[in-house]
Amino acid sequence: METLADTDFTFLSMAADIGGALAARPFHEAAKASFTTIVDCENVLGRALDYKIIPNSLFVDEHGFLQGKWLSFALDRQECLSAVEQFRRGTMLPFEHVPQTPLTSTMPPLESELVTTQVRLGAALKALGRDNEAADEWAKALRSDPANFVLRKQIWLLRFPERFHPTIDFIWQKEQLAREHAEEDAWRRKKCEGDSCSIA
Amino acid sequence: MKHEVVTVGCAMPDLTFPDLNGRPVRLSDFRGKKLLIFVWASW
Repeated sequence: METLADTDFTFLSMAADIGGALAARPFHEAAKASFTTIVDCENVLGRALDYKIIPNSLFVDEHGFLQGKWLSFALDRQECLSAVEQFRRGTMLPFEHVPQTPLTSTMPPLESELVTTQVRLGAALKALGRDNEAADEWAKALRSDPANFVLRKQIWLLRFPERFHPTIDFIWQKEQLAREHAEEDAWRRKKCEGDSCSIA
Repeated sequence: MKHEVVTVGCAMPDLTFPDLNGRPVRLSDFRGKKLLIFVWASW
């Protein structure tokens, strides 16, 4: 990616990691990076742009306008690199690339506002070192927004730190995701036994 | 407070984030250049 850097193009790395610079630095250093890495440990940009999948890439033109949003972006995928090259050359059309996911979250505006508030409250509790309460608050938000993988993984990081340090256990993540999806399906079915089942 | 989502075609919010050394970096610092923000996490 650095080979694409020139006077008209900048690559900026953003770690959306609740572990902050401490968690991000080893990865930045391992990449022997000369680009800048910034840290968004409260997912401020994620809330502003409503992205719920990481990694992703945001294409911002020279005037500061968002021209592209690619969720589940991979730096080693040719189609992703081709998009970057088109962007750099000025031949890219505005686009939004959203991968298919097993769950989607369509919420009424009021519920969406509630989720935003719960996420912010969780971030504030995390900043105070009240990790268990933060995870509980984020879990409430996740129940309304099950496709939010940023939130889901932040909860895992607080509740299962041993699965992330010293190495990240991706097999466990896959199994845990399956377990949680099964629990969430059961919860939704139970919720629909009453009179107020959502048909969305 | 209503939460306005920034969509493709909209101006990016002028937010400030710390770099790995704690120095503030404003997104508007990159105006005048095309900017690719790659968002990732250690997990």
